[in-house]
Amino acid sequence: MKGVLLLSGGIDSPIAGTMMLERGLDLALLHMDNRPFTDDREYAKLLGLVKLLREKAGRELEAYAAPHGLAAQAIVAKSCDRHFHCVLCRRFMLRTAEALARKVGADCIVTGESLGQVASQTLKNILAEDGATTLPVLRPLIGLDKSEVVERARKLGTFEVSTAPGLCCTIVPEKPATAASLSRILAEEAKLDIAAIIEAEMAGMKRLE
Amino acid sequence: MMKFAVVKCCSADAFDAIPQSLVKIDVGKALAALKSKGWREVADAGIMCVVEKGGVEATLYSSGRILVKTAETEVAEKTAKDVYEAIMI
Repeated sequence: MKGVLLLSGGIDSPIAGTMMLERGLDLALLHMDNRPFTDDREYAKLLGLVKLLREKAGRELEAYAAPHGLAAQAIVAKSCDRHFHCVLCRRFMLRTAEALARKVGADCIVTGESLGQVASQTLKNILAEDGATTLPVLRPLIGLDKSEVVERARKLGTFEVSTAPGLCCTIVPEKPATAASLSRILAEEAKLDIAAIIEAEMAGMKRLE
Repeated sequence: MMKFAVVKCCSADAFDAIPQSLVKIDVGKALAALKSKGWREVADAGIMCVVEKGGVEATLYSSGRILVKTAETEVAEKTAKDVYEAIMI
């Protein structure tokens, strides 16, 4: 079995990936490159995490980066209600992860979300996000506290890389929705050419050595 | 010209330039003004835009806040000043 791990430059997703590797799931790593709404150092952290995950797996896990910032974020911000930006962004990430899964023969998507950790990770938002994909979304950290994730990251050796200086997402709304309804999300997405955005993300996707 | 304070971001090589008075910027018009002054458009997200000049990237928000991607205070101050002058606030 194989999954696509949505891998950011942060603390959580490398741990989610490691937990699934330990359960025997093969992984393809997918980074949604958020530049220019992050910076080059955030991308450099990602490359460091890919290296560590490959070491942990003991093999060259395939890894990819998709141009999420320009292909999706800018368009969503320009066209949709700002409150729903984070949920809409996550739905595009899941769609692109699904498109990659079809390409590499993966059966699920793995993310580093944990319940209530940030505004976008409420149960209602997660429900609204999951409708964007037909694949199962595995969230191995869902019930863990941040302190438990940090402890695992320290043991794994990813903590130093994940917490190195880097610019967080600069396009996050001041007041993100915490209880997005699917109907409202679908109404926002009706303003977008979803297929074109996914096509752009897939066309710009590059494989990381 | 707009008075502003420059504050170092805590976890990144970047600075925030924060206007000392309340402003509301039309990002579309500001972006056009910046481009006419030699700035390159990196991204136009409606409520914000990202521009670049001389290798320094700046993100302009409708609130007048500017995020400058640099590790140097002087560069951040000069960039913010240049942006505010270009958009004439």
